[in-house]
Amino acid sequence: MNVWLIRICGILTITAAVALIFLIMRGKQTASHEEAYDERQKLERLKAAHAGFLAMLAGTALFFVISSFSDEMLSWARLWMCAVLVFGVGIYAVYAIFSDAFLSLKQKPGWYLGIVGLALLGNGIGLIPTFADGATFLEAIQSSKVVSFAIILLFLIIGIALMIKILIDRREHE
Amino acid sequence: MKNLKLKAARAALDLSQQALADAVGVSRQTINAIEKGDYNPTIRLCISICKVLHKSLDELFWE
Repeated sequence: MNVWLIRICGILTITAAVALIFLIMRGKQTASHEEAYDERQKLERLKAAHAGFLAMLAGTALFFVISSFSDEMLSWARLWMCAVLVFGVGIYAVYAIFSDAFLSLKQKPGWYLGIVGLALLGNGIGLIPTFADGATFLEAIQSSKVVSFAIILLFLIIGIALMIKILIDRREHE
Repeated sequence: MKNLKLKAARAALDLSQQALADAVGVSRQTINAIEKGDYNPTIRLCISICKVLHKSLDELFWE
């Protein structure tokens, strides 16, 4: 039998198995994830997702409008798309946080802030070699490292919004 | 419109918003939103709240 055919069959089988496992786990995760939020939170998360989607749409439309006047904008496409993603997801996160719908019933803010801190630390450390090589900030954001910058910015927004919400909640309790 | 009946019924049983929320399986902020009139709960949640507070739907949610 053709060796390449065997290899292709093997790859397809493994891919199908992985996809099946992923779908089963995701199905279980979705079921338990949905129960983790109460009815009001689900509605608010839907509104937040709607707002985030519209924000991303607006950002993308703006990019196309500006780039139609300037070809130079096309060289900034990667940065712009990352900015649009951060904008959209950021809007979603902030809306959900201040509607008390970001964290599920079981999640604690402190635990989530820890994850935010880890993400910031990890991506921040990942950027050190870039700047150690002598790259400027402008060069860095025009390279593939722009994704790390986007993640840092996004988690900063989420972290700051969460901390403000925690402070507001504490004052309300007092 | 504020739901003062709910607030009064909860206070009568000396239940905090968090305790009532835990009993019916929602967040404290949802109970707060219902009492402030910022959120209209589903009938299922209304029934759950009534059961915990030992009140009827009319007593808590009818204007």
